[in-house]
Amino acid sequence: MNHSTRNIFLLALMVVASVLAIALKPTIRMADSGPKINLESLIPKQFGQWKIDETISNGIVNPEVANQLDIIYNQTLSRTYRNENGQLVMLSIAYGGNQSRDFQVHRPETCYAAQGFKIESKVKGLLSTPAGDIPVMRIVANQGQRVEPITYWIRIGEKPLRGNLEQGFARLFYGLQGKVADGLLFRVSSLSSSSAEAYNIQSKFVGELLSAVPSAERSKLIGKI
Amino acid sequence: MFPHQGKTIPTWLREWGPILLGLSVMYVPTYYGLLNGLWGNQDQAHGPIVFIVVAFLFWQNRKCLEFSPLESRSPVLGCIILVVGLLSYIVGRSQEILLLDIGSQILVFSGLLLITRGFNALKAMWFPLFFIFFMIPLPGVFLDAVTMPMKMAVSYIAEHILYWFNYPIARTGVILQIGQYQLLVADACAGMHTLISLEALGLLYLNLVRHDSLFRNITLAILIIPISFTANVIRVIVLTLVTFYFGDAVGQGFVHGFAGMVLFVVALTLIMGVDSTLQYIGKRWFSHTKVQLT
Repeated sequence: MNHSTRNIFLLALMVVASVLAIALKPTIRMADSGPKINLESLIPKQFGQWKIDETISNGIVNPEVANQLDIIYNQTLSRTYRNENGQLVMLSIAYGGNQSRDFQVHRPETCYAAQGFKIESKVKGLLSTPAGDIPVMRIVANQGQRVEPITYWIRIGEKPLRGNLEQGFARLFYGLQGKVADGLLFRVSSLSSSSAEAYNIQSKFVGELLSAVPSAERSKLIGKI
Repeated sequence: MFPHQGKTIPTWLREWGPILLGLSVMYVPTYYGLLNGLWGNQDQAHGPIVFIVVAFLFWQNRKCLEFSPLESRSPVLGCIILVVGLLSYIVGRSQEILLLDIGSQILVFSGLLLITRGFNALKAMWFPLFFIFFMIPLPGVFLDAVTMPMKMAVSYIAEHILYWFNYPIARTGVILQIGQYQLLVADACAGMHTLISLEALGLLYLNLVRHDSLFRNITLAILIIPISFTANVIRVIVLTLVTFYFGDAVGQGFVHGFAGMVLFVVALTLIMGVDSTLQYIGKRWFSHTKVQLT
């Protein structure tokens, strides 16, 4: 093969690669298939021994943060629940229809750190609920005197997961099928210096909440376990 | 009469034109994306500089392409590397994985060099090819795993050194307490990003001064890691002392204005100092053996 023919062939290979790279960009939005999610009506205001505490404001004060949240998420829900013993659990759910790289759900370990919290520990675990075992991340964030144990998971498409790597692999898993997954961050936290106790309360809270959500709707929160 | 006069396209362009065109089709979108995204990020500010250095080094070494003996070509191996590179590009580009998107250039360029010019050309170009690594952002998982231990180590050593000098210093985790001031050793002080920039700077220095001695090159390349760690410790110590003597406000001003520069100057001085020492040792140890390693 002479040089110019060979180089034209190489050019063709490179053009094919760039065409494929454009053609394989995921376009099918999983959020568009199936019924729309509505967090406000999906999450009951009262369930088990928990009742929403209206006296505590969950408003976001920082306008920059509020603006950023609007760009990334289609829906957010932020509530505080109180049980009969006066224990408080903060629930925060964020839903985004587009989980491509720029819009993907932010993990609490980065969000809290960005808000000036220090992440003390970060452990992967399994949370047993009547609806099944959910893979969760348990972190302890603190800022001065405020110590906040957090349990969270992320649903990407139909997969419940946690952590950066799992999030990336799930994005790739759906992306290679041409799909843009939707995603949801489910986070509960409480203020307590005893993280074991806090995690225990949070597990009970999550279990009771999932039992109160109709089973057909549950997969919107935890995916398919 | 003059059959070649009609062809005004220079030979090099006729040969390399299609390849350059192909590369542009592939990588102009990549760099356009970087320019509008990642490179605007403060942690990745060294990206454009690395790009310019890579381009410059390729250009500077272009003569090697002309004089490379064609017998050393390796079309089969070249094609395999090229195809792997293209696949990496396709996945990386379509799925927005910068590691594969940017990293694919190393494979694609190497493959093309092997096909068109061969091993000698690849050897001549190894440094700019390798330098492309510094454009790839560190994966978050890696950063998460390394940052915390680095911060701990930096604070631990800074505390002990200041303690030796009888400063009233104490440490809890990554918080340093000196006198009435409290300093939080932030992520930036772990210096993962500065370490990367420094390693790039150091290797570029090595390449530009063109040592003949393999011993010096490898030793210095490895030593750059402890050097930038030391530079980070010095930065934290300087910052702590500035806060101790001049107060919190001056300390914070120093963080944002000057600490980064101190870090670079210290690191570069250390690199050159270590390099001169190695040169001295190298001369004494290897002078009689007369080994020329390149």
